[in-house]
Amino acid sequence: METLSPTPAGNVPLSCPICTRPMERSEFDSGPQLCPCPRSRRFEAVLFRPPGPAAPVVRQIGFEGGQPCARHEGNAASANCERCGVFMCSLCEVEVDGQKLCPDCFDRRTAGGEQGAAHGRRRDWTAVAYLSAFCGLFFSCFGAGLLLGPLAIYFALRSLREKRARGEQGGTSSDYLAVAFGVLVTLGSLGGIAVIVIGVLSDG
Amino acid sequence: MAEPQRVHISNFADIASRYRAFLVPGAVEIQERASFEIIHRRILFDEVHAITLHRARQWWGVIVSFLFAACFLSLALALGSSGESMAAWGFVIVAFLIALPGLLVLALPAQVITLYGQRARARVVFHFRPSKAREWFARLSREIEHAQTQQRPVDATS
Repeated sequence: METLSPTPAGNVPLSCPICTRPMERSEFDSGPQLCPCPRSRRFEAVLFRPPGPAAPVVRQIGFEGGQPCARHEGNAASANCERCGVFMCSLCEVEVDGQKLCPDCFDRRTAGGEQGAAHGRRRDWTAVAYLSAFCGLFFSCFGAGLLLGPLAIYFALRSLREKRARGEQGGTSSDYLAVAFGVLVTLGSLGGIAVIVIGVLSDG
Repeated sequence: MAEPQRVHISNFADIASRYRAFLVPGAVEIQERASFEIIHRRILFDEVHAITLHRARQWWGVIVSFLFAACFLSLALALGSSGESMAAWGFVIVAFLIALPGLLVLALPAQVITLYGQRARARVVFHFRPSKAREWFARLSREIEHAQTQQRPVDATS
């Protein structure tokens, strides 16, 4: 997958999806078409006419206590733009250098050359869980599995909790696998230690 | 008013990162996983200029798989020439198993959906699921058209 930074003007030009050669909108058509490069490979396209930027509508606070997003009135606002103050939902929210901006303010800052692409970042707890489990497995001879196995379970459960809080549907199988892996590492370490202890006691 | 819900579209990867695509009301969200961090970007439907669908082969996967298979094959040849035929056949089987994903990728190219937004361009890749890719292509086209149609009456009056 490629997600590219916008040009300083804020508009991403159309390009062939196969050879990435820039194309004018007039060269694009809805339906099957051929790549402009000599290999002429096929692709399908659907063109749209996006509406111009709409002025956000500020609404009064409702009795239900929730504030709607200024651009998406069906979504609850999760934050205020720190530049213009408009209410925005989590779809519109763009985090840049710790500052939360609405899409219009982000565009204005990008057009003014104040910043490049903005994206949200958070910790990948699933990957951390797998790392803990693998380290626990490889260093289980040193008893590390007893610490790292439960840690892997904790990180995987944390990832699941955060995904549920964000309302994600699907994509949780890797978290359940990480929990199972952590359980195996923990039980394996416990079993290994039990075998060693029994061996020492029986020799003694 | 409800918090936006995420519906999983596809998982895919390139040589450096792994990606997950989600459909949220009004946008497609791409999560890139690299270095124990998740970077997420969104393409809002009301800013999409075009959506395309094409077939592509993930050549990096084919090359890596064939390189490893070649290593095991060379080991098998070395063992075979030194008289260890059982071990050599074992390495040949392992080489075949390693080359199998590369052969599958060559035989069944991935389907790639590309969205061109105002601020960014995003790709969603479907491996071995051409019908699923086509379903999502049609669904995303409908959702984008619906989102942009809803926005237009507001612009006409403002």
